[in-house]
Amino acid sequence: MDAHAAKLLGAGLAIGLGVFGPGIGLGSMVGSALESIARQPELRGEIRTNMFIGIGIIEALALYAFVVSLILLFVVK
Amino acid sequence: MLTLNPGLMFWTAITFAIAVFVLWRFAFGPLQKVIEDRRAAIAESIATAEETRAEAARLLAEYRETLASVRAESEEILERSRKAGQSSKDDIVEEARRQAQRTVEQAQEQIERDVRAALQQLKGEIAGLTMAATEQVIGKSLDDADHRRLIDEALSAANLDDLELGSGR
Amino acid sequence: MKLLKRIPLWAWPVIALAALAVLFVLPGGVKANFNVSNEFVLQPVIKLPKIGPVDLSITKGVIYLWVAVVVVCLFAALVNRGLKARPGRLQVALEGLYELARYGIAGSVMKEGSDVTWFPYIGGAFFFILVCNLCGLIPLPFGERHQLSFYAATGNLNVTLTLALCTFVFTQYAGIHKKGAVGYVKSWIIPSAPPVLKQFIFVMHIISEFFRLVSLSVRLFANMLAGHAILGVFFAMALVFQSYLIAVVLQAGSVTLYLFEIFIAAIQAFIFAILSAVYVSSAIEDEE
Repeated sequence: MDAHAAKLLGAGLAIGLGVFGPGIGLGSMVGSALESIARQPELRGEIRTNMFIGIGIIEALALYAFVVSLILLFVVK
Repeated sequence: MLTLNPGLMFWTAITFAIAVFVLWRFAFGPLQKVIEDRRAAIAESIATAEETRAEAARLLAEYRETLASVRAESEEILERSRKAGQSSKDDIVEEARRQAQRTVEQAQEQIERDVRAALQQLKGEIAGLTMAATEQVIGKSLDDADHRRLIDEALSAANLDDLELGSGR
Repeated sequence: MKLLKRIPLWAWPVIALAALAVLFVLPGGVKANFNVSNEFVLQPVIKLPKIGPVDLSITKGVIYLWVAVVVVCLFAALVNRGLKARPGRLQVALEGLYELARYGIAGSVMKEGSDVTWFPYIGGAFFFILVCNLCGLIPLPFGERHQLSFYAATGNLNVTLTLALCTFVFTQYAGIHKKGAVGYVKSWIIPSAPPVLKQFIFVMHIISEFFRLVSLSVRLFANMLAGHAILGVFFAMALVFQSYLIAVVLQAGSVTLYLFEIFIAAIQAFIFAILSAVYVSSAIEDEE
């Protein structure tokens, strides 16, 4: 395996594995947010705001993986 | 895209500052004002509507009260006039009854008087007739004492007292 | 004019999107060796002299930034002039966005009082990033060979890092302004913690402050970059495969993705603004 192939493989693995956890986290996050909205519709605004904050924080993890794969693809020589 | 580019950072800072400044000074104020004005207008119109509704309710209650009192009054007037009519009717009937009674009594008195007069006359005529008949039968004149006795006998035989009693009511 | 009025309202975005799709494909010509990463290379459109390490050349990114500022200023002028008590369609939309920023972001995250103080920054960031993200979806003729191509200014790490630095600076400023420099640094440490842990918490807090900077900038950058990369790949795949069938199918897919990118643009602006509000209010408010 030459260096180029290893780089591509690493980039793919980085984004693929990196999205795995945040995907599960986002699913559980949005699921329970919807559940609590269904239970208490009058708190919809507050729950939605906090849900977006949580989504932002969780999503950042996946994006770190994305950036790492970009670095692997375009920056690493 | 991952390399540091101070020029782009500089331009970003400039444009971002301009955008925030323009929005802050020129856009947010009028927007906030419009939204608050609308909120105030809505609150005011709700308050006005509330007031109007209270006023309407008050007027309705007033009208209802007035209507009820008017109805009671008319009821009372009707009752009073009915009572007055009743009493005047009673008066008239009573008056008429009394008049009728008086008329009847007068008529009875008249009848009694007439009957008594007639009886008196009858008595006289019977006495005369009896005397004439007796003179003719006996052929002689009787003295006055005999006359009386005879007349009384005849009268009791004719039982005129019964007649007198029977002419009563 | 009559003919234009007969077109229903819902058809306009469709027509616009179709026109964009056509425009995007047409001037590209036959270019089979398409590389997505070339779309994100910034070449100077107007060369300006370097001042030390700062290259002030006008690139694609700078043009998109200026486009966003012009659009923001146009809307500001519109709002400053023509607000009516009985709003039209545009005014209702603008007021809805304003209320989202004012009461949905600043009002719901920050305490009463500090939301009024800090709303100009939070709301300004929200609208600027929103307009930047949405303008990034408009193709302009600033590609490598002056073909139409789109580029989000927020899809560049330098831009988002500057925006995140602004939030970072304002956060520190807000904390120092509220509690004083010493009080602010003291507020990083939990007073009830045992003394051994205090230094650890202090270091952790500093790290987390800088990690906020990184996460705030990388989130926006990576979202916009990924969206544009996927859109670019979809639009260009017809050129790569050189097949009308694939072109038709992929154009439908890319229009859908384009609509999804509009949604992402709005969501990312919202998240950036709300996290800025959270960070600023965490510096102002006393934590337990």
